[in-house]
Amino acid sequence: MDYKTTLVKISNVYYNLALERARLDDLSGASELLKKSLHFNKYQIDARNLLGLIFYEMGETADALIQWIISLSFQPENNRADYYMDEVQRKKGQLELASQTVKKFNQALNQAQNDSEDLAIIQLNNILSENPKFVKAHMLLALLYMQKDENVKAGRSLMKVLKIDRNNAKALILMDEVKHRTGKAEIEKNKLKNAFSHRQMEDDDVILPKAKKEATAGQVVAYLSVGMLVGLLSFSILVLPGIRKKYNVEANMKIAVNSQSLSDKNAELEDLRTRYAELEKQYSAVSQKLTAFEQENADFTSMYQKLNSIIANYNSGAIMQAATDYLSLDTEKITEEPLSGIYAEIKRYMTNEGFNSIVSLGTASWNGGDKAQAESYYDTALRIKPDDPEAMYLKARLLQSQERVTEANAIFDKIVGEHPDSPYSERAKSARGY
Amino acid sequence: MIDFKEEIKRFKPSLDVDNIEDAIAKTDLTDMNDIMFELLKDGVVRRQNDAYSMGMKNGL
Repeated sequence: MDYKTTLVKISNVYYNLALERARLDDLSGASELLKKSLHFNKYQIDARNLLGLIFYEMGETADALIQWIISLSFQPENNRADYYMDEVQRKKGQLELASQTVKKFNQALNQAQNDSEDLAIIQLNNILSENPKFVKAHMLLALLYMQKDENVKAGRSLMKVLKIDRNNAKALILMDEVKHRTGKAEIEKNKLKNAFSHRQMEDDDVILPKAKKEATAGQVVAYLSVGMLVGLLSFSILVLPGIRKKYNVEANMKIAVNSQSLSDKNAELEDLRTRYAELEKQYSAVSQKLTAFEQENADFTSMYQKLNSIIANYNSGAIMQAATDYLSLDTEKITEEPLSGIYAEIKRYMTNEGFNSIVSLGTASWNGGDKAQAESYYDTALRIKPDDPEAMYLKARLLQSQERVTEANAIFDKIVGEHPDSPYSERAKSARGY
Repeated sequence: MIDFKEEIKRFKPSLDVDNIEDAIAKTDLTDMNDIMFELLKDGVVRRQNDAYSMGMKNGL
């Protein structure tokens, strides 16, 4: 094999690897591999077009245009870059908008580098409202927020970067720093703020457990029942024996005098005894209700503590522990407020941000070579959302890479059968070899 | 510990769409093919020169 063929093959291998990464939203990883592909063969048109697309996705329009123009110069006919150029360069206003964005960003960067951080932040927020996928602007904004100790806002910007570019190294490092910082001060501050705030909660706000109510209707009934019980006990212990004794003495005295009278008193005594028996039954019923109430209270307290623990683990970054605890909840016991409200919030987080974080951890582990850990993450994610086609697809690809073909194919078939409209259906078919 | 001033300094300005022509002109499009070609060309030229020198030495 001559060297030219070898170089082309190497280039194609890098391109294929890059394509896999791009499909998993690892844009940074994909762009590095594409540059390697082009280093071995600058005429790899698909690699060049994809590189341009990645630049465009990350908000770097000029870099994208450069790649597409070079691509068209190498292959003027039958080239997808022509369509991309049409969309970006030839449509009216698009290019002007891109130019304005870059000028504003460069101005903001200059301000940031010359101690005008507040102006830079305003400018960057302005840019991002029109161009929400401009990764570099999000990164600079995050750094500026971190410098001002506004770590929640910094975290928000970094999350947006990671949604666009899943494995952006710098964003991951800064996110670690933000999580480390928000482990203490920021959460306490927000807890205090949210305790008295009536504003609507946003996606990455800290979840606050609601305060326990003072007394529910059931508790009031229970308190009244306790009062009744004390009254009944007092009556049965203090008053009833006296009554009984009184009637007994009188009955004894009257035996000698009037047997009819004695008989009447005996009848009354019997009546009292019947009533006493009924009261004892009522006392027993109230006592059982009290016991049940105490048991419910213990269940309430235990569940409240579990939900609190999930929130604490989630906020401190121990996402897997939070997920494990969440999945172990006995939801049939969560029926009343405030527990049901807290659970609803936790569920919303777990099935959105939590789920996404766990899937990202799985992919990061896979990229780091730890496939067993990656599988564990994907399995946890699928227990949270069993029918998510993306997570199913990732797990199947992981199994495929471990030559566990039967298991992988079963999942691919499930994606194709149950999610025919999902973009992962086509990918599953392709991976499956249909 | 992250030094924010240093990190912010590392940010480079983005390329403006008005400057694409310059950027393309300055883009290095050398790939491994070009490098191998140069290496082989150097090798051939060197062999030719060596052969010529040998011929001169031997009076050819």
